[in-house]
Amino acid sequence: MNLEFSADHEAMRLEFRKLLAAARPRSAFEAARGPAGVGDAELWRQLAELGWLATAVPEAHGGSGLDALSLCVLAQEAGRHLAAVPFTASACSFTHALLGWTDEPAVQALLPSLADGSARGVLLTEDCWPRSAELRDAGGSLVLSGRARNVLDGATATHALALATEGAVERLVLLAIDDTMRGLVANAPLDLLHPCCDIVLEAQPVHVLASGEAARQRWNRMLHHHALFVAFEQLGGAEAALDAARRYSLQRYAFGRPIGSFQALKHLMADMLVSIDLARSNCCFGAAALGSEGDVLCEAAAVARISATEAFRLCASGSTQVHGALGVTWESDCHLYYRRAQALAGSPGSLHSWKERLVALLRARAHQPCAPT
Amino acid sequence: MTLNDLPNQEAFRAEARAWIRSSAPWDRLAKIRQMRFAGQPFDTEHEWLETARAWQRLKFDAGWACLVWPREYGGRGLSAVENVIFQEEEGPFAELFGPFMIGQGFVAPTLMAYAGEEHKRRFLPPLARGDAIWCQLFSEPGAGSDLAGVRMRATRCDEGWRLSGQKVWTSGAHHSEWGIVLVRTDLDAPKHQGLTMFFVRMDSPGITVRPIRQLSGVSHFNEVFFDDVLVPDEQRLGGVNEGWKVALTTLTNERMTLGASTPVGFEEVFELALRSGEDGRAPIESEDVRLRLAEWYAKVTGMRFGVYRILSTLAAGRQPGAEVAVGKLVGARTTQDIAAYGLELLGARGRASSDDEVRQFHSMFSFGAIHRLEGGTDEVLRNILAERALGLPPEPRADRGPFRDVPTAP
Repeated sequence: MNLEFSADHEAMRLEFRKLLAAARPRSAFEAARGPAGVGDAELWRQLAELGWLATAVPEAHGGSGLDALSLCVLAQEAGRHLAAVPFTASACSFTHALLGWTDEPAVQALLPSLADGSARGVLLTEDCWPRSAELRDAGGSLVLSGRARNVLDGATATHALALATEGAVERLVLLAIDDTMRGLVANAPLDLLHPCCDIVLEAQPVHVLASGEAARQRWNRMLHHHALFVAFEQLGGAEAALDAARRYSLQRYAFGRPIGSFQALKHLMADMLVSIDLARSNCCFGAAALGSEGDVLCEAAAVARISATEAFRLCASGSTQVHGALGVTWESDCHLYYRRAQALAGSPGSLHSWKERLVALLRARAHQPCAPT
Repeated sequence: MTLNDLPNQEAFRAEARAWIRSSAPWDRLAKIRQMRFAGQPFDTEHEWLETARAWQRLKFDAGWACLVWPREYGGRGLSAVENVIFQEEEGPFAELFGPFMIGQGFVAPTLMAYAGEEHKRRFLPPLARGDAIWCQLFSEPGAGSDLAGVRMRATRCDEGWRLSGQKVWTSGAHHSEWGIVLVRTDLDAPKHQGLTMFFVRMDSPGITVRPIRQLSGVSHFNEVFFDDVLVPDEQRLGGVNEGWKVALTTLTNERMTLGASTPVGFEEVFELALRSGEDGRAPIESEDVRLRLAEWYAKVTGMRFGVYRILSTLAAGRQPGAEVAVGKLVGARTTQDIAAYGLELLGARGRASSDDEVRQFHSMFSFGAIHRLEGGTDEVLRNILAERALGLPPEPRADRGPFRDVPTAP
């Protein structure tokens, strides 16, 4: 048992952190006030240029070919710094999800574009589809129809992965998204830094990656990885929100004392720290379970999502509280964390759905006869 | 990052498992399971102690006791990792650690740090074997969370020291042979600078132990009166007026031991939720029950992997921070919540502990309340986290200056 990131991973974290910290003030400001749906194009260009978008892309396809643990570290930093780019969605979850199909020409063609930033992918998870998407045969090729609602990072996405059903058969599909399929970028979005929009598919041709039982299994696996990367992003966000609260509470004086000396605020911040500690432990469980087969990965993804969601929400709302009136204005970053925490709480999959998934797994385990030891 | 044992850990685990399978008191398993949450399934305290002692002696004689202690004091010089692996393999039998937790978990590290070599060789092996039980005489009627406010006096005399005063909430004092005791040796020094630590024989003339009936109805802890008790100076731990530093050694070990090893009741409430109730419906069919189970389970794994994170830190040669307090803080509250919810699910059946399952929830219900107070209350732990982990300012104090001037009443 070892739950520590390696020295190499930690060195990479510091390097990435430096870059994001330099970009942050502009990123948060411009993305929040600039034209809707663009995000921080300059940061995205930098990330491409310096190779960060190619972290998961195999070396044979022009990338760095680093492991999924690296993506956990980077997602955490992206969350910490409010990076207004679809880094976790595209460079972590989507790119990592494609690694099982590097033999496929369609995937081979896409990988260099993901690495240079010209392509950006999302997973169309269950929280986007009011009804399941409909897949049908149109003269020998499969086409997908349906409307994915307010997809996070959807406004900048060029590709998507989805699980869809054709009659009784489930299929895991890859599709391209162009401007004609994007609905209007949502006005007044909850999360200002990750613009969402509808993705409307009308008989859109798709590329099938897997079918039947294999499609469900592989989709679940990529969903669990995605959930874990997002949990790390939430963890980073929670850490940053607590850190901001801590620093502010030491500078701000009231009644002749720093407000951080009042026990009511000390205990609030201690509770924020506790929630982070639990989330970090579960995220580390998930990171260590990345290579696991079977239900351990599902268990780890679920507990990481549950505790990271709780931690980010508590820390974001707690940080706003500590900042007082300043926290509920656009003068501080509090509202950006507060908004991001709420947006991520619902995607991928609602908190409710992860709890149900976890209990279903525990029930299934309880009904299995114990393996003889 | 790996969930797997390293090869040497795997071999250790296999060896421990094989030994436990062939040696543990399997015939008493049902009763031992009922010991969770400080339950008292035995007819007499003597039976409980002897069952625990028998297992401790077996472990000691086969080299499985106090694994992290140096060999010369009865241990095996192994790391905290092996200790946790053994505990995991020990499973329900780890409950038999109860009577020895204070002595082996908190007192022994204090003796190792502050006792002389001769005392260490004399006292530690019997502690490890379960032959000697030690207690910790810390709290007083006027000093609990504010432990440095102890008022029990020790004054010098020709033969050593004379101790007078009262201790309270002293777990196991009634069956302990020895105890460590924190007393005031200088009333004029500031609070933390007038304390000294001693160890005393509990059958010394002048010591009176009176059991206190606890929430659960049992009497596990006591009030202890010292009336001019003579203690030789060689039974002093650390310097005169340097007892606070010694006490901190004990308290740090207390928080780590209590946090790492304590069950929170998830298995119990999950089992209860799976089984059909009197209405023929299993509670788990209710969405509310499922959502709560999931929340608790995420806390259980968070605490479990929190311990593994601490072990990973230790294994890398670094000291973990104040976050080690998280496990106890979360665990105690979770136990209390689970117990209340379990009793609610049990309905009318839960109102009296007529069977083992209900008794378990009653124990948990009492234990949850006690556990939130013992070894650092929730509030003290939050202060520790806020001040030591987050660097927030300490509480304003009204107890500086000579101890005799510190206010004690309105």
